Amino acid sequence: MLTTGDIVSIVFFLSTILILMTGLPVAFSLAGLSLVFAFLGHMLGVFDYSTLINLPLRYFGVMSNEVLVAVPLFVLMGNVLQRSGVAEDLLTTMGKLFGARSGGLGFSVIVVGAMLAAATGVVGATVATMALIALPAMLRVGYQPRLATGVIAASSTLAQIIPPSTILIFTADILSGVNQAAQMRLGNFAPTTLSAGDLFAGALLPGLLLVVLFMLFMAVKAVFQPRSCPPIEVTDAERRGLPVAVAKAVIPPLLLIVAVLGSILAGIATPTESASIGVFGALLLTWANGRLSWGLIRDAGKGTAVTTAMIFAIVLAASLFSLTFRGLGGEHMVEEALTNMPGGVVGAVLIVMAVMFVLGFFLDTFEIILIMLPICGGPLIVLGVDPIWLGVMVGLNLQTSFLTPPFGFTLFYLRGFAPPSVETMEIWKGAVPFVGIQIAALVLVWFFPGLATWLPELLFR
Amino acid sequence: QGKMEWRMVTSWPLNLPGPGTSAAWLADKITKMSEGKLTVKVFGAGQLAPAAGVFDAVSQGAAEMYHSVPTYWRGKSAGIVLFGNMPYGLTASEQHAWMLHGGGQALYDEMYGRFGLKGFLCGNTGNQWMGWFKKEIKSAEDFKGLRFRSPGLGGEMYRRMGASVVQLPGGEIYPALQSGTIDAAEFIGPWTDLALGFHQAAKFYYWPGVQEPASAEECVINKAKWDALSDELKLVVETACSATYAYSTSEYIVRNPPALKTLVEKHGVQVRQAPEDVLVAAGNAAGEIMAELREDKDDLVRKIADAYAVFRQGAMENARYTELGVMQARTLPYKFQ
Amino acid sequence: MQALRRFAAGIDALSDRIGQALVYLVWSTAIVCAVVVLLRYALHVTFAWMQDLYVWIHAVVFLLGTVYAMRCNAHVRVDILYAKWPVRRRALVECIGVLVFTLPWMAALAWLTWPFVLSAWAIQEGSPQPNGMPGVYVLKSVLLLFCLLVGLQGLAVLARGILVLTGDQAAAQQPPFADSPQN
Ligand code: NA
Ligand code: NA
Repeated sequence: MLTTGDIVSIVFFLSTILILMTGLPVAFSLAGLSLVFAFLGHMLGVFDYSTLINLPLRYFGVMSNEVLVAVPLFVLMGNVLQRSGVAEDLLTTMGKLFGARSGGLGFSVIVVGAMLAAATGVVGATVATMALIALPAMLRVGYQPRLATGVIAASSTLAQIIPPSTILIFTADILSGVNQAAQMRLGNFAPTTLSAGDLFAGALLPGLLLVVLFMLFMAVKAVFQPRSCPPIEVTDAERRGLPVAVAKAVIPPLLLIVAVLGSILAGIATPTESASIGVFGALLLTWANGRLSWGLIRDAGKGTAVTTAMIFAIVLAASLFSLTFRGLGGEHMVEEALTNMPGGVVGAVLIVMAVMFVLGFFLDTFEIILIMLPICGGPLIVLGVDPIWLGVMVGLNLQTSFLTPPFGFTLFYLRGFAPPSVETMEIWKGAVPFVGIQIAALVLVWFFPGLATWLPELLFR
Repeated sequence: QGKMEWRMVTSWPLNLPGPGTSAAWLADKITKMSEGKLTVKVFGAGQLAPAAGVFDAVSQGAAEMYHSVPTYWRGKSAGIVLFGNMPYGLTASEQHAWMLHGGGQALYDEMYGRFGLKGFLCGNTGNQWMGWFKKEIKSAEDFKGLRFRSPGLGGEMYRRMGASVVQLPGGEIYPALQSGTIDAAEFIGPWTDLALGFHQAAKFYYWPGVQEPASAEECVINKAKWDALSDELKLVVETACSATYAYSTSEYIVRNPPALKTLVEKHGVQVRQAPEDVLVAAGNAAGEIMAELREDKDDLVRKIADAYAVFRQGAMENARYTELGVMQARTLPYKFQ
Repeated sequence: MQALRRFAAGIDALSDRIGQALVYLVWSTAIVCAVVVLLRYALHVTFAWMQDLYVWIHAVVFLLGTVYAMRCNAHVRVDILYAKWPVRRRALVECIGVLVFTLPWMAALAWLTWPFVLSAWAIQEGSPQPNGMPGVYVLKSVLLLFCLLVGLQGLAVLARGILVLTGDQAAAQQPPFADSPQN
């Protein structure tokens, strides 16, 4: 039977989604609404007001969490790289390298997208660069607009699943807490721990799987519909200089990726440590490209502060949401519901994934992760779900959701950067096959969980 | 006054073997002994307050009580740590004796009273181990530059011996050890350490754990809530804490030997005794720390440190003729099946 | 009306100053962290206070950054409907948002945080780890500063919303009704 607290919790959750739709800054409306419901719960006698006294303590906890320092550092590294000219050089040289064949430009976008993904932690930066450089080039040679925008949107979202990824840092932070608690409840007193490094390792193969599937799709297009993706002209002079140009464009960022990602995956350094070194590696690349300036340092710093603040404002608000939701007893209700879900584990995972997918149309990744995972993560792990697999599936799922028309976030970003000649409907249609590929990847990781769990097992156990 | 429900926030995941299970046991005893007049509901770290925030949470009334270790509250006052542990300090039974019969509880009350708190010790890990080392320790020189995970005053002691001391939460020790981010780590003893898997990354297991001859857990209650309890319920809480101290401390004695056997026989762990010069160097470092505590600018810290030092002298004197004597006799070659 | 205009502009100027300071703070986080890494891996030494330091700077970055991001209208919004609304409706919603959500959040947070900060100052709270950063009370106080500054920036939004509702065209060209370049 539903108690008063349960009903208030349900109304609370639903009004959260409604209120966010007003377009007010998410962090403030989420936090403010939580207070409203705490007050309401207090009036109805189902919320102990003193629970709220924990709020400053939770905030001090966020303020002194060393692991989360990796977030601004990866954002800063990405901001420096975005201004370093590395992406431009990669796109130009790769375009020439592969472009002489049908589908070659699309192929080069996927390769560059994957490389940028392995060097940056947030999606926004990658979309902008690719849309501004690759899209005009593709349209000029006569690419089908929907194919061009589709491949760019899809390749840009790779930044979220291919490590390093800020969203995986938060996912790991939340899951490691709920995992330990869940394992104790299961009577497993020697649980393997879950760190950001584990989740990075877990997401690497599924990320690369996506890259391969995208490439296969381009290959199929090139063979069966060569007119949708024509080749570009590469002059003999360009061809002669190409090997050197490619090497110059590819090797420095590749070294940076190997150093940063490699040191994390080899377990030599923590993500925070690697990121701090990565920032200076990116500066070095910028300097080598002759782009280093005070202006760049200022812009990258300011951009990082704003992005970091956006993310952490949501963290602070979501913390208040969780506290209120727990105080109302909503968490207990969710746990009951998931545990008694028809279809057992499969049913429980499916329903959580479905809710997250739908929320992904309206809300930002960080909001969904920070609101949903603390509530649903524990019960799913108690049901026997592997935490690393869960983290990777959630990442893939949200990424798919972001690519899904009409609401997908990446499509909004891309709309902002694409020339007006490209119709919005084209952008939507272009995303459809890639959404299909992402779903295929989700299904593959579902049936072959080893894709997510094998590498962390190999590296860290 | 009818039935009350109190929230106990803890610094552990629910039911973590050792401290977590001990917190749950205590909560259960208080609930049952009070015949439900005082029901205690346990919250894991982070559920309401984060692990490091429980002191403030109870002090400000966000929860009625907490379960943690005094060692964590060094930032509140350097004197607090002595109620939990001290390198080369008191053993588990001596610590309890100091609190119950040596004036420790009065000082503890005075210190925690400053924060609106009232506490009781309610558990102890007993003698710990020096820890897990990737390379053999041949002399005190080997501590120079050693990247060593060791928290609290123990960590401070090793830092003074030249080690690069690192603070890591329990769950992050193993990956750090395995990857070489650190060269050595100490947590508690065989029972807990086996569970955390350190033996897969470091083969040398050193004793004795002079950095923590014992480490006490505490149950701390918001003073206003405590004062409002009936005498009967006060007695219930106090008695339950004392019972839990005995229960928890003795559990390590039972769980450690089979775990050590597994470590050695199944996992090939090399058990080593720390060389004497290491122990002397460590003792000197611990002595420096104690001397500084006895010269602290806070009167109460000095009072606590002085009382601790005096009690320690008496306890050592006592142990020499009692425990130490018997322990040594017990190891002599005689027939006893 | 003139007073409202001047108030909003004044708060924005303050936030812009914060924005400038943030550049140094962001880079300090990276530099201090990198130095810790180099010292640890190259020279095998660690200083607990340095490890605390970059975590502290990071905390200041995201707390003060929240204020600056408000000033730049950079906080995440679900603008599916919002983007299509006329500016007067947006102004009304913004005003309600500030009054019902932002200000109560900050007021409640300040009220809840105050006793913690006060007690931390009273005991001159230090780091829980040996050799850590002294003065934990200073870091805790930043949370109060956050409440104050976010509250003020919220009032600036409210002021501008009222201006828009009373038909001020210039106010409609200012954040949060129009994005400002992040300068
Ligand atoms: Na990435
Ligand atoms: Na220890």
